[in-house]
Amino acid sequence: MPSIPELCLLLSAVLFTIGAYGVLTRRNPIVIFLCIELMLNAANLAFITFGQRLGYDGQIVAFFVMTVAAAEVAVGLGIIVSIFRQRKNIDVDEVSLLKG
Amino acid sequence: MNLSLSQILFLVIAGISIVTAVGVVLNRNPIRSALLLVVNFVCLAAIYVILNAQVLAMLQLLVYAGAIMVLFVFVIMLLNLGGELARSDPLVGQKYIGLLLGGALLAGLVFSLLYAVQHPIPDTQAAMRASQIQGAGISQIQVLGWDMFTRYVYPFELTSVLLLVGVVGVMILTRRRSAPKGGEDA
Repeated sequence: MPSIPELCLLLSAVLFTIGAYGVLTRRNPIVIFLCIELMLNAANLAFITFGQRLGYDGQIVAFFVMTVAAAEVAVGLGIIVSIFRQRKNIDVDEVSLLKG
Repeated sequence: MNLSLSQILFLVIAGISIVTAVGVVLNRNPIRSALLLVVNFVCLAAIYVILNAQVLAMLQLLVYAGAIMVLFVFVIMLLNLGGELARSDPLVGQKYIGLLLGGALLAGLVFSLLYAVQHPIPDTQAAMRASQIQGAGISQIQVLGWDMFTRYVYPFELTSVLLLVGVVGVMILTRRRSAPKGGEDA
């Protein structure tokens, strides 16, 4: 049984992969956003795991990742709301006006 | 196989975290995905406590589970949408190719992370600092606050500007136009 930091890194890799699969497969933009947040949290877990051994820099970077994620969620949800405000079914495949 | 109590506890919490993450991706109803992600964040906060990062665990609960997910739930209820329409995939066999490539990504990530753990770059200055901090018994939030205002003061101030830009940007993006001029586009 590997040690807890190695198990944490395995968990981070698994969560990142699950989030990436969700971003590429789902068509609801809000669920795509939820999977992006899952990927960000997986990266945060990796930062904190490495920070456990090498001092507090990993935790500070994770703090900044949380702050930037909060700003990104606000702006991203604003974009989603303003695009999909007047539609019945929201589906990212239908937002294709600029398609060549 | 000799498992300590903390390892058993970690495996249980990690199992719940993976199950809820799979539930987020596979669930048809977006509100259930959001609530499962909240459970995932609480599990991650518990793991941060196991990793001796108590301040970050509390911040995870406050910021992620307490603010960001509340915003998500508000937007899902505002848009009042149903599940996705069942539709055939653009590529033939897209799901299976996706799972295969996802497995390749997972293998690459696991290999690189375990390699980094087993061959660490020795950083004696950070390790010395960490042992000094632990020896002196300074509380963790004091250390983070000290670092935030001395070594990381530029990113700290820039993130405050970033948040201001985000707030102003969202207000401009979601403003309703006063009079629709025939064929209002979003």
